[in-house]
Amino acid sequence: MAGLDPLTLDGTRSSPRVEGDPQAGVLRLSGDSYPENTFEFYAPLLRWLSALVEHGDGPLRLEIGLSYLNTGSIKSMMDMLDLLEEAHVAGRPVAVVWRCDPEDERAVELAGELLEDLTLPWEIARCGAA
Amino acid sequence: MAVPERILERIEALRGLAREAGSPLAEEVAWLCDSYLKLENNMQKLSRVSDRMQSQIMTLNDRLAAAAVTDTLTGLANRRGTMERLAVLEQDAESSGFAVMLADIDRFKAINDNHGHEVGDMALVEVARRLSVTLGDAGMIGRWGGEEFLAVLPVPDRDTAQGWIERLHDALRGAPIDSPEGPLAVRISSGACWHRPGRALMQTILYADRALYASKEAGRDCGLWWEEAGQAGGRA
Repeated sequence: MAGLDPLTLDGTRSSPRVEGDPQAGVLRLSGDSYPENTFEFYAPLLRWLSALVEHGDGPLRLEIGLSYLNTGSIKSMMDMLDLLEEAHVAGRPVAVVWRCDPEDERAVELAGELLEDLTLPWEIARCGAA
Repeated sequence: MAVPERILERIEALRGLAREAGSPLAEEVAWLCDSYLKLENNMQKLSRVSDRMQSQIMTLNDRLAAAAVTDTLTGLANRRGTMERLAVLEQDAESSGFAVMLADIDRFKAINDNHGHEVGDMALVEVARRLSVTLGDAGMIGRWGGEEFLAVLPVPDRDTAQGWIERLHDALRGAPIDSPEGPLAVRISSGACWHRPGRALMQTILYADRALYASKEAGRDCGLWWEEAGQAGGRA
């Protein structure tokens, strides 16, 4: 999408690596997510995703490859998924892929719980964190 | 979804009023009502997930706490676990003391050197098992480090403790340990000391260690009390 800068954040021990590609319409999160100020961390990501949804009509794809999420991060995932669900209902092509360590049943269960009510196409890929 | 009845009723009433008022108010109110319900749904989901995470963390904490005091090879209490047990006994103001026995596998290095570390580990596991089964509920055995074990004997007096020490030695004298390299005759030497209330625990353990050293000097496969380590008596 023209006008929106790519979003790149290096991962740390407690915050995920973030790769936002406006051209491809992809936002990718990988690593662990338990930053000290979770909502402050995710606010710019949500703004970026919101801009991506509002100012374009190309396909959107969210790839989540997070091993551990604190409660604030789960809330932020819900907010992102709600944004994309609205875009999907409005007719935008949207896809969500949640990558889980196949050995980690808890992660698979969490992903399932967050995705189950959505009407947009989603997939839980048991192939390890991205 | 468990939105309180009184709120649901008012939401539906509001939708009805908005419908009567007509567009665009009806659409705006419907959107707000849906958003509220979605928010409520998300909050409940978040609580559920968070509760589950908390309970998983509690379980993991319990496992971690158990692992921190357990020796992975033998399953006995490790040095930390043994010290914790000793500290609890020490706090017992009613107690007139207890016995501490330090036992060391004789010529363990030779087992490792001649048969390999795998057989050495098997010997450690079997010694731990025999000592632990023999002592049962009468006390506890911990792995103090390397090939050294510490027995805590909360018994009324030294004579009773001596009986247990003899049984612990006999548990190894009775039968060799089976190994892929053939039967191994494994023996222990030990040193014991009666812990008197008021004395530092580490001092008692140091005395038991000196008695253990004296047992090794006396020819191994025997046990001495610190109080008698310099004399001929007190052997197990």
